[in-house]
Amino acid sequence: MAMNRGGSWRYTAVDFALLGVVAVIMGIIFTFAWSVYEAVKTIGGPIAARLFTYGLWFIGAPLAATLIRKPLAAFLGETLGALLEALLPTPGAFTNLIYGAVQGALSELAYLLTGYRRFDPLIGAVAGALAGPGAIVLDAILFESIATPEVMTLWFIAATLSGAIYGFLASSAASIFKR
Amino acid sequence: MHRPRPSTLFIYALGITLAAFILRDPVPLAFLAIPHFILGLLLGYRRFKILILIFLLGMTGLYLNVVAVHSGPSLERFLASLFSPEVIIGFLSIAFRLMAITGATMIFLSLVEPYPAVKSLEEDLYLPKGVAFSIYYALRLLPLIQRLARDISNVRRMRGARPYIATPGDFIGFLRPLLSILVERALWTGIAAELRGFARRRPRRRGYRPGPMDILVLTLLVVEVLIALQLPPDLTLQPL
Repeated sequence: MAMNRGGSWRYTAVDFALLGVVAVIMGIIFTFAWSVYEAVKTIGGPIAARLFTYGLWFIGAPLAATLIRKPLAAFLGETLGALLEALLPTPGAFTNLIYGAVQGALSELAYLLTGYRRFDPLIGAVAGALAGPGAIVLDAILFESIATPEVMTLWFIAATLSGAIYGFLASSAASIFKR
Repeated sequence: MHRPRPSTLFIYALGITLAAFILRDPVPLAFLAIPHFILGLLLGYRRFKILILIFLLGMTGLYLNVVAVHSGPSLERFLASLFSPEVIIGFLSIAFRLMAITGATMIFLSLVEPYPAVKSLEEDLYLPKGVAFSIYYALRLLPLIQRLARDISNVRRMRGARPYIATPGDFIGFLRPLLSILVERALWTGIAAELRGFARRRPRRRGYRPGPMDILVLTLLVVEVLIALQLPPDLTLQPL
């Protein structure tokens, strides 16, 4: 991990190409995540759907940050994936952009708090987990997914856990590509 | 007749999405939703058949969800409140919001292809050149990644593994080979772009100079949002 101790802001064409890779992987995963989400929701209900699938929407940030290891990589990875999802398009349409920007900004916090010095799977898990509450809040605004405080707490926990699991997996898959 | 610029249509679709996010009552949302959804269907029903199908299925799920939220866990109360006015109004306000957003997106995507959209965002709205490069690259990779995903799926099937993603283990099984091919490719694409002077390239910026059609579209957006904000929240509250 020779590069970027302390976080250089200068992006090269290689970094932007890697962001493109993350965006296209996200575009594909996001597209199919909708069907998986609906299927799991039908079989297991809303809590299982959040636990097993929400994290899939949060992996753009840890994946991009682990591959690029620069400030704002997490935010750009999640937002560009969402922009591509809007252009493809998927059922979320333009709302994806709003979700992507909010989730990306929340995940970016995990790397910011380490001073952009750590990009390991553990921080990937934290980045994924931080996106969870943001998604639940946006769900409440957009879909009016509001339930009793107990159920809402379970939704928050499920989304956060899901984000942590998929964030960890995405980051560990990307961390084998040392730059 | 001149067509509106893709960036204008992008602003329009994003504006309708944000307005649908902000508005909470069924009548203003219906005012935004019905024309946009109908126009979106007319323009995009051939191209977005699957999207429309998923949207309609989602609406069914949404209705049941609203009933469940209103009735609680009891099946008896669930059946009793299936067609109650509260449930119908609750469902309509969410359904109209989603119809407005999906309709605006279908209008945008039916009138604009992704490449010109990104080019227009870069030229008119100063989208950073690196971000535009990432999206162009992602769009170019799209057919390749679809082929790769099919190949990985076939190989997994031959090895007796699940050919689709159902568990976190499957997710890693798909992600690792995809990344190993695409990261290598991105590295060399990036190096080639740098060698061709990517860092010194100055993108062509024309600034946002709206033509008559662009002004018309933006005026329409402003008028629609202003009318929606003035409308009463509920028709039953209207004085006779």
